[in-house]
Parts: sequence; structure tokens; C-alpha cells
Amino acid sequence: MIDLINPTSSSGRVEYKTSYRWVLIVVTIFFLILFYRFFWLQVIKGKEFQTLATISYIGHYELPAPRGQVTDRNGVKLAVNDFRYAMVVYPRRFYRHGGRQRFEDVAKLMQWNEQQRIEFEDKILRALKSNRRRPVELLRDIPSEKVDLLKAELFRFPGLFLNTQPMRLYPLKALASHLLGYVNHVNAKDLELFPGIYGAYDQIGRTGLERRFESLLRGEKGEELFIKTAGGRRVSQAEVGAILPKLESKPSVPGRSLGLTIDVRVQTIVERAFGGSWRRSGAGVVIEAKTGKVIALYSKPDFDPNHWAGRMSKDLFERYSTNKYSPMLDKALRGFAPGSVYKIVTAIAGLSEGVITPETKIHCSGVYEFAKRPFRCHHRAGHGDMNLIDAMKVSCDVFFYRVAEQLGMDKLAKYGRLFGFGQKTGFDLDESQGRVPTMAWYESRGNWQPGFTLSTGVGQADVLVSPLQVAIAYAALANGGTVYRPYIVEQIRDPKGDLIKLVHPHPRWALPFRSEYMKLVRESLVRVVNDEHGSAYIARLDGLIYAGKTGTAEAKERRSGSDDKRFKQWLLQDHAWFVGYAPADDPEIVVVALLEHGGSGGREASPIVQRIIRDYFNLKNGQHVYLPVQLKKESKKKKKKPGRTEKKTTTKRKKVNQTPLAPLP
Amino acid sequence: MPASAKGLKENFNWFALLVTAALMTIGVLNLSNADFYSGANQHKVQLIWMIVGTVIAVVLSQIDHIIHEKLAWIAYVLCAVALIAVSVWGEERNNSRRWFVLAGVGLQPSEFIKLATILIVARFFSQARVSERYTLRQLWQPGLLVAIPFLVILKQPDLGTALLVGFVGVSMALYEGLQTRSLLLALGIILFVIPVSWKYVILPGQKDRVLAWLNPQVLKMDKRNPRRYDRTIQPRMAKWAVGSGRFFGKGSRKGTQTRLKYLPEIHNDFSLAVFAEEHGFAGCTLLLGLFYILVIWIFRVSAYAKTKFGAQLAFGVGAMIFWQVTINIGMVTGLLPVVGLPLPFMSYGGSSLLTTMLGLGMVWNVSLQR
Repeated sequence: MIDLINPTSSSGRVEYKTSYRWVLIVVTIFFLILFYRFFWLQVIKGKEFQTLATISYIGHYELPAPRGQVTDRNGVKLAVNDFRYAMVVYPRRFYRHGGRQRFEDVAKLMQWNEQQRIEFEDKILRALKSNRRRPVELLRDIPSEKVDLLKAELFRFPGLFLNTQPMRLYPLKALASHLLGYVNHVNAKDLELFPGIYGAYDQIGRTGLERRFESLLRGEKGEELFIKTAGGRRVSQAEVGAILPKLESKPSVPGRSLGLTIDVRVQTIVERAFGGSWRRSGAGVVIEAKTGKVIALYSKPDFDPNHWAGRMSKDLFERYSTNKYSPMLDKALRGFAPGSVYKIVTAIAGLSEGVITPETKIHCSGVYEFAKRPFRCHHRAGHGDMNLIDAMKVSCDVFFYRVAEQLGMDKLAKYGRLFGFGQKTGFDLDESQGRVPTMAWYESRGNWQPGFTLSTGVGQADVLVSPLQVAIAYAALANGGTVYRPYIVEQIRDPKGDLIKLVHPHPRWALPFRSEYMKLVRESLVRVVNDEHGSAYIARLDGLIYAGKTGTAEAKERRSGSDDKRFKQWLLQDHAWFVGYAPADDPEIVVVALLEHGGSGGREASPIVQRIIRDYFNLKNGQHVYLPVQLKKESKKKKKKPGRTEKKTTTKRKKVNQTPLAPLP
Repeated sequence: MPASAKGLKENFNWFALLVTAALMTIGVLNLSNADFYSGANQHKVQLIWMIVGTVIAVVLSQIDHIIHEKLAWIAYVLCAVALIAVSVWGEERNNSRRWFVLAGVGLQPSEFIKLATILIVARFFSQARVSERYTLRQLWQPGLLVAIPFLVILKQPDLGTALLVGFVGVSMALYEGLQTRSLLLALGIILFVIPVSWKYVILPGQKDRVLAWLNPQVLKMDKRNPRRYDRTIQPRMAKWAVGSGRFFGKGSRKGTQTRLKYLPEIHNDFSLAVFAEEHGFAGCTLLLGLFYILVIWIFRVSAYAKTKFGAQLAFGVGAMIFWQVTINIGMVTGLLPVVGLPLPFMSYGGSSLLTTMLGLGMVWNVSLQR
């Protein structure tokens, strides 16, 4: 009851005491709620929040691993690491206050056109919209003059940074491009395929050695942990004192480097020997006859891996993609019809199977009737009576038709495989295995004709061999019968330069032929070059006896989608082959040259091999390598060897002389 | 019984004094730690305010609170004029006009009017001649007296303080007692006012905070407006800081979230989070206990007050402190949306501290006059 007369009466107390009880209950309930909230946050969920808090202040910085280098056998660098600048924007910080204006300023500085502006701003806005905190990369590979400009103005653009990004550099440009391959930046698919291995700015090998040895070359990326403030600023351990745990960072492990068996000087010799715009497409191989080491591997036309490693303009890409002669294809490792180069198989098979003896003579009238079909010799008038040596020397087809007919398809195939054809050589790079047709193969295809045996005997019909296979087969014949695994990666070194693995020559099998037969065939191959009737007599060398075999393979083909008349005509020509080994008595190197649709092997391919062998031995003997002047234009794109910086001041001739001529092993 | 009750009361008084001293000490120490993190020097200023406040409180405790009943109108009018003036001509900080700067000292009339409103409402109840419990119609006068500062403060804008004035006013009415019908009617009016005010009164920024509290995912999406996004960060970071303190805390001046500036407003509204991170659940329990004792003591003083005015005055001060503690802690721990309200003794701010001390001085006087 409230005393109405006297407001200060103490009778009010009773009233308030009732209310007081309610107040007490309400207050206690509220405080209990708060108490429980603290308990829930700090005791029940404490660990969770601690983890969240810890994650919030620990920053991660990816430490990219330097990619392994690739060097040739003399230590000349073929693939090294370089870096470029990329423009990176932290969208929230960049756009926080007056971002639009800031973007305009950057755009003006960088002289972006309207299209770029729209594209880049859209990128930023999209990142802002999404929930990601990741920085956005606007532009890669900024030209150096723009980098200088930007660096000076960078303080005006908070949230905008210049990142350095690794970029592969191939100092010798197109030289040895097919075997090196190229790298470029990882894309979303790679990141998905190899989770945790690649950082956003890493590179990945796409073709050639870069791809094949990717796992060795790439190394292992590291991670640096640091403490960051809410604003994203890095804080040193000293600055925050001892309140935080010491963070352990993981250093990156640089990639392993590869030492190749390639000699860039020989590679240059091969490249130049293939010079000339009339030689549109082809491949050259130089291997050591007694080890299987690949000294040079060349495919024409070639490409500059620097372009593909992130320096590709639209214009360039257009040029690559419209080139009909497949610049990206390594033709040294692809199968082609071998033509007469395959005749050593038929010859050895005939001798070993007793179909012929060294003295057997077969008459060539220019045509060989078989199954009511004329099989013509390339010499329409006929060669007359020929024994094996003569037949090989002039590459008489009739002689080998006859031998092949008597051997039959499967025996031919057996000897073909013994030489290493029709199967992988075990090389370090992706190769096609070619094809040695058998009866079974034809039966499975259902288009067998008896005449195929004859064609196979002269390397036609369905035989496919790669230039590298040819090199290995002739090396085996030349070195006395050992089929080697060709290889190109000889040394694998760790980042300190210590040798981890040294690859030794690997003999795969011995040719199970009587040595006098092989000697006979070798003798015939010497005549090919050195006999005045030999099919490659024009390619002989003064002062060096070497052996070889020409090949002219019919390879008419049609490719769809081209109306280019010149190109169509080119497709109708024969493949021109020549394989040689030198010196003939104690072979050191085997050289194969293939001109795809290049014409006659004797006329077109043999001079290439001649030049390679001559220059190789000149180089070895410390003499100047003569390089014809007309090749200068051709070599504009392909600068050579370490002396590339001197290009502007020296003449072509001098440049060659200044190449460090390390003694060959 | 009266003797023992008197003894308890006597002892409780001194105990409450001790609790107040403890809260003030913790507040200054906590602010000095916040200064350590931020490099500011605010705890010294706070200390000066604390000394000034203590002196005034001691003086007030010796003045018969009946005088306040007579001076209530003057205090109210003075504060209201100052409040309206500051809302128009005051200095703008953080998009809100709350401060008068007098000789380099910032004063916040909205803090003082809390006390003035309590005085005037207490005076109304002590002088009203109502035999039954109050109906709403009978409460038009105190309602108006509360509504004026409520609306002016809301317009500043300062949602937290405005709501506090309202809460204290309503609490005092409930303490006095309402008729059941009026109670239900009042509830209905509130339920009607909330959506209407959401549409017309509440500012977008304030809405964001409420939305962020209801569903943090809503604003997270809107990164285009970093300011909006920050409104979700604040309460989240506070929760992380408090939670990561765990049972015993990370230790004085070892709070990582505070040190690395993940925690916002460490001197003001979120000063409790600094304390919670450093001292953990143990420290928070102690602090909560101290506030509980203080609030209970004040309400007890009110219940045993000699005069009706004294009872209502003490209750008003108690409600003010209670609501401030509850709302602020609820806000820091993520139970309530961030409305912006200082925590008594812990948050930096002269006006707030002075208001609390003035109130406690008056309550002390009420407790003495039994």
C-alpha cells in the first residue's frame, strides 16, 4: 500500500520489497546467462576460437623452388631461370577508399585501352564480389619500362603490388627446342590434378624434357610463415615480443638439373646443314655409334620455347598455328616410310636365311614382274646382273624385291625387329614406335596383298621408322652388332651441383648375325658413298672414308583442309633419307637426315649428312667450321651458342670462331 | 532481527565500496593494457576522471538526497537543453554529434541526462498520488520525460544510449508496478513500434549490425562495401578474442588478437574483450561477480530506502548500471547486436564514468539514510 499523503513514508518499503524479489530473480537470471555465455565461449568452444584466432594472424607466403637447369655436355646452359613482373591487386585494399579513381590512375599510367580497362576492372569487381581474400593478378609479364614507371608510383596505390614471377629462359632460343620442350604457367586444371604441389605462379613442363623430367626439375616449393596484423602488415617476431609462438618456415628445395649428351655446337652444325627454305620439313639425328648417346637431335621447322613459356603474342601464335609443316612436332621421333634405308634389313635377312650368298647375282631389267604386276626399279633401264654389294651401292630395287619375295613377310619382320624397328628405343622422350608389318598385322587389317612383301623389302608399303630408330640400327651395324638404348640425359645433379645419377650406355641386345655378313653389308655401305657409281657419291668427303645409305621413300599423301597448291605438290614428293656413319672403319658417329617430302635421298639428303660429318670432324680437330653465307638469313631467329650477345658487333664467320671450342670427350 | 539486518546492511555497504574500488582498479589497469597494445595514453586521463568522480561521489554521498528531488527539474532541464544543443551544434565524431568540448575536455550530455531522467522520474513516482497500480494513461508525464531524451539521443545518432534511457525508464515503471491490462497494452505498443521504427527510424548502419547479429553470412557477401563488411568483422573478432582467452587467458599484455589489432574499439565498447582475452574465463567470472554484487547492493539499498524518492533513485541507478553491463557484455560476447554502449568502469570515457560515480554517490547517501 502506498501512502498517498506522505511520499517519504516508509510504508512504501513493503511494496518495493516485493518488487525487489522479482528484480533479484531477473538480475540473477541475466547474469547467469552472461556467465554461461562466457563458459560456452571460453571453455566449451575455447579451443575452436583459439584455432580460428591463430589462423587469422598467421600468414603464409609461398616460397617457389627454382627450377633445375638444363645444360649440354660441355656445360652450356640450355634452360635457365629468369623472372618477370606481374601486377597483383588486393581488391579490398585497392578499392577501399576511392578505388575507382585509383584504378583510373593506374590505367592512365599503364596506358590501357578501353577494352583492357573493362577487363581488368571486371576482374577486380568479381573478386570483390566473391568471398575470396586472394590477390588478383591483373597483368603478367609487364615490360621493363612500365615496371620502372609503376615502381616509382607504387606508393600512390595501396593494395597494388608488383610480384616477381619465375619465368623459364632458353638462352639459345630455338636451338634444340624440340628436345628441350617448354614450360608455362600452371592452370586451374594442373592445380586440380596435382593438389598441393604447385603454387599459383609456378611453371609446369609441357613438352620435351621439361615435361618428361618435370618431377625432377620442379623441386619442392616451400612456405614461409609470418605474423600479420589485421591490416595485413607483416610483423617481426621482435616487434610482437614473446607473446606468440615461434613460427617454423619450410624452405623450398630447388629442382634437380639435367646434364645432356647434346653438344650445342654439333646441334648448330645440324641446324645449319638443314638450312635453306626449300628444305621445308625434316629431321636430323647425330648419335655416338658406340654408346647410343645423342649428340644432336633436330627437327625442322623448329620453334622458340621462349615464346611458349609466356612470351607469346597473338601474332606469334597465329604464325605457329598456321604453319603447315608442324613446327611443334619432333620429327626425329616420328615414324616415316624409310625407303631404301631399310634395305640393310633385307640384305642381312637374305644372307642369314641363306636366300642369297655374297656372290649371288640377280638380274635387274628395270622391272620385276610379280603377281601380274610390274614392280619397278628406280632405275628404269635396269642395272643388269648384280650381287649384294653392287645392288646396295646403286640401291637396286629389283635385287631386294627378289630377296624379299624369297624371304616372305614374317622373316623380314623378324629381322626388322632385331634391328630395333617397330618398337620403342627406350629413349628419354616420347617417341612413336614405328611399324614393322607382319602377316598377322595385315590379316587383322584384312587388306593383304602378296606384293606387300616386295615393297616391304625396299622399305615401302606399311613400314614406318623414326630417324632415331634408323640411327640406332645403323649404329648397331657399324659398331659390330650392339643395339644401344639412345639417351640424352646423362647426368642428374642436385642443386649444389653434386652428381646424383650418372646414366651409362645401355646395350640392349647384340645382333645375332654372322660378323662376315655384317662386314659385307658395311662394305657395301662404304661403296654407296665412295664408289663412283654409288648412289651418294656426290656426298663423299676428301680425307675421310665414311659409309652411308640413301633412301627415297614414296610417300604421297593427302591432308585435308588445305588448298595451298604448293603445299599439295609438296605432299606428293618422296621422303629423302640419308644415313651415314663415320669413319667407316672405326665408326664414331651415326648421322641421319630425313627431309619430309624432300625428294631424292641421294641428291637432297646426302649433302646434309656430308656437311654434318665434315663439320663435326673439323670441329673435333679444332678447325674452323665452314658455314655458307647464304644461311645467314635463315639463322636470324636461331641464334647460336653462348656468343649470342656478341651478335651485333661480329660477323657470322667470326662468331663461329669465338664459340668456346671445348675439347670433345 | 533489525540489529542483525542493520549489521548486514552496514557491512554490505562497506563491501560494496570495496567492490567499486576493485572495479575501478580493474578498469584502469585494463585500459593501461589497451594503451600498451595501441600505443595510446588514455588510462591516465581515465585515472584523472576517476579521481574527480570519486571526490564528487564522496561529496554527494554526504548531501541529503532529498535535495536532489527538489533540484531534479533544474538538472533535467539543464541536461535536456545541453543535449538538444549538442545534437545541433556539437562536435561530430564517428558520424555522431554527442560531444561538447569545454576547455579541451569532451563532455557527453547524453550520459548525464541518464541520471537527470532517473531523478525526474523518481520525483514523479514519489510525488504521485495514485492509490492503485499505474495505468498507462497515468504515466504520460514520466513517459514524456523519458521520450524527450530518448528521441534526441536516437537522432544523434546513438542507439545504445537511447535504448538505455528507455530501458531504465521502463524498468522504473515496472518497479513501481503497472496494472496487468496496461502491461499487456504496453507490450502491444512495443511490438508495434519495433517494425515501424525498423522501417523509419533505424539507420542503415544500425540495421547492418542487427543483421550481422542475426545472420553473419548476410553481409559477408557484400564486400563491395567494406564499411558494411566491417560491421560483421567487429563482433566476430570480439568473439574470437574472448573465446581464444580460454580458461585462464593469455596473460596480461599477451593478447594476440588485441596486439595484432584484430580487435576493434579496445578502449571503448570492446574493452571487455581485451580483459577476456588476457584473463580468460576465470577473469571474466570475477568481473561478472563484482558487477553482480554491486548491482544487487544497489537494488537492496533501493528496497530498504527510507524514502520513496530514495528507493526510486537507487533503483534507477541500479537499473542503469545493470542494463549497461548486460547489454555491453551481451554485445561483446555476440549475444546481442552491436549497439554501442560503454561498460561502466571498464570503457574509456569521462562522462560515462562521472555519471556512474554521481549515481553511486547518491545511492550511497540513500543507503546511509535508513
